[in-house]
Amino acid sequence: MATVLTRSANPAIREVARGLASAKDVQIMQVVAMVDAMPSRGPADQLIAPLRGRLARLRPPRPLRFARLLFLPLDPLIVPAARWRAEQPTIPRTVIPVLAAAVEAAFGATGRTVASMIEGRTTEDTAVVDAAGALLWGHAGAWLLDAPSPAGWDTTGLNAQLHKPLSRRIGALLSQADRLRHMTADACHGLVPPEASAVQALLTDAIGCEPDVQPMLITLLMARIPECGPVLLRVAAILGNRGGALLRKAGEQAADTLLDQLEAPGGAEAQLGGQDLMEAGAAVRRLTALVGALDGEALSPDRRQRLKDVRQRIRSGCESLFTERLTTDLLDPLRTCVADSGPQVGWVLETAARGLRALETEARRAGGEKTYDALLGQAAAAVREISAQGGLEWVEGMRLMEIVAGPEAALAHFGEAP
Amino acid sequence: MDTPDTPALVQSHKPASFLERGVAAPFTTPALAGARIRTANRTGTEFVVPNPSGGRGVYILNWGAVRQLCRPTVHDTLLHQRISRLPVMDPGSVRLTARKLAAEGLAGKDATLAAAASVETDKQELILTNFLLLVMLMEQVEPAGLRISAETERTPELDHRARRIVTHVGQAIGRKVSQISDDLEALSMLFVPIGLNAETPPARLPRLTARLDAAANSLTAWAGQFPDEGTAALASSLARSAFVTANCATMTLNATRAMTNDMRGLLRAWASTPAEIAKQIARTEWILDGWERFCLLWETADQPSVQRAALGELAQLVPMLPKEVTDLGGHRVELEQLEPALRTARLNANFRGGGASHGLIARNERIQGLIA
Repeated sequence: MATVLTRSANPAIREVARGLASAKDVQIMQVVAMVDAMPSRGPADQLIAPLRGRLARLRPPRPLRFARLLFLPLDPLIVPAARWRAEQPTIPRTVIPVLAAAVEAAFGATGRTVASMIEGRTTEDTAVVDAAGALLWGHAGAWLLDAPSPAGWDTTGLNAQLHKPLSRRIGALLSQADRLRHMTADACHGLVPPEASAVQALLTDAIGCEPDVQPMLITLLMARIPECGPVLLRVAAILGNRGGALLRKAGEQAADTLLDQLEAPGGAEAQLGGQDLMEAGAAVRRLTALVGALDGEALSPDRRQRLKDVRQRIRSGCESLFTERLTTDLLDPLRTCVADSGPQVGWVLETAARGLRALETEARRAGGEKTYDALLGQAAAAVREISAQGGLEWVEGMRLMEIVAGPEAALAHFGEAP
Repeated sequence: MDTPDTPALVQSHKPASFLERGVAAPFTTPALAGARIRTANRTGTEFVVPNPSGGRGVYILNWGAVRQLCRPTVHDTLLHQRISRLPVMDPGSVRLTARKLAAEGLAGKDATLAAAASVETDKQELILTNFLLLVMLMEQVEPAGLRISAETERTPELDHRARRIVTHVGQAIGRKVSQISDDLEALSMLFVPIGLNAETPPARLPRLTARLDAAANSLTAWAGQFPDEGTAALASSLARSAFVTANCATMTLNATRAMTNDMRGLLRAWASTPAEIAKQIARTEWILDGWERFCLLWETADQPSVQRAALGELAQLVPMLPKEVTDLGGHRVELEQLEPALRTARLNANFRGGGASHGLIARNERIQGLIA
């Protein structure tokens, strides 16, 4: 097996990487932007490798390159090569550049069209991702089902025999990527869970391409839309004895994998974050729903304990995240407010406060009620204090108080009847 | 299962009149989406709130009960207080009350800016409408080939002629010149949202009618584009309601504008029965009341997922036409067909109550900022 290059042999790069480990988030974002801007990243890529956990939390917009677009729908399945096991429903990161290069080469004109669509775009340009992805994923999936072993497979660090099953499973998943993306988008807008018939069609079509893809697809579904759990049970009942048993077994594998991922160092914490507080709240909601879905009456004592530990980490992670963002996004800017700051300042604070409440409301599902009550109490006290000092206009104070402490508290403080 | 002899457990809400239907108010509390407010003898006001389950029927609640159903925002609390103090509760007065509140900053940034802008627009439109009604009167009494247009210039000569004609008309209908002037101003205020048969940009209600028609077309197209979706039938049924309402609005708009074809008759009628004339002119506003939010929600839904999510919300917003418009200009409106196909509550019924509710309040405020 070839060496998997996640740690640089270059002492200078290792030294910089060590320095980055203690760098602030802003500095990390700057380094990532610089590395992303390089036409050929080469050894610089190894600077990023140890930061992936923090990047997952910070979620900076990443340049939309062909390989990134191709594998974007499969993101929750991608693991470092060192952690990958053949029996797990995951994809080793090292196969991404190799398979993406093969697809791009095989696609000719379509590949060039996709490349021109995504040029200069980032992962935040969702409309471009949807349009270019719709052009790419289905065709790439079909091609990967019967793709020859690509040049450079040895750089993946994987045995040559692993190419075919991995390529076929990735192909089967990509053939459903567009559907899955629509389901995920629906879930983001509160349309969950998906209909059982839609989930059944998704599974049937993917399995029709590659029977062994089932655990991967369920892992993907559960990671993206944890509310799918009960729907999968309904589908298993519809499929009958054999199909249902296979689906339940695949579900078990998926649950193990997802739990492993959450248990990995920084695994649960990496899912908490993002620049946008509303999105951070949605991520917390998804994470707590996932842990809920992994729970069940028939859990072994071992898994029950593991889940309990993960829950505790999520709770701590949420509390830390909320405490940090409350300070940086609301309390610090609030304390700089002076009379005549202008309405713009109040509007920015409102957006931050709403995002914080969205995050806190979801985070309470993981526990820590008293912590959040106390922190919101601090925020309300700060609003009261700054309002009294004239740093906020009456209406700004009223609205901020409403967001952090509720409408009744705001009305009472500002002398209005509820 | 319901049979013709056994009434459904929960009846559809079929208001007999516009007053019973209540007035739409731009509430920002997510649970009050589609809620309307009306006068009540005992409690002053009451709310007509769509069934939160998404099924048939409405809840009739006083403010205390509304506060048990949800936590109204500060904006909604103050809006309710101010609406309660209105001498007459109609769409026009509720709109102005909401706009004043928004101008104070209580509905967020976008609504604050929009409120300031629309005050100025309304002022300009009032001046123009007043002038054009006068020109219409002049052209009907003493045709001189003047264009009824926003471009028509106000000159001293025109003012002099106007005074002479108004004096003449006043004598004919038994009103003083100052009274005719006041009458024209009062009528102008009523005609600003309607617009005139004139070369002017479309007024607010004709614009809204066109948008409603466009929304109906778009919903029909959506149902055709996603025929296998469970929501296609809902989209079609919403489109049908929107089409019928847009048609009703077009009919009343035309009838109202036609009143200005005889300005002397209109002024005479206004002098004797102003309340009746005001009611006739306000009819389109009542028909379209509540549909602007419907249009905005659909217009701002730019992706299929957002559109699917919006459909369920739109069904809550559809204002049922009251029975008093069943016969409109000889066209019979089949009200039974206008009820949106029943929605089903999803398992995530708490979606609007979780962290997302904070985002929904902000979204509702942004929508209010788009209301013309």
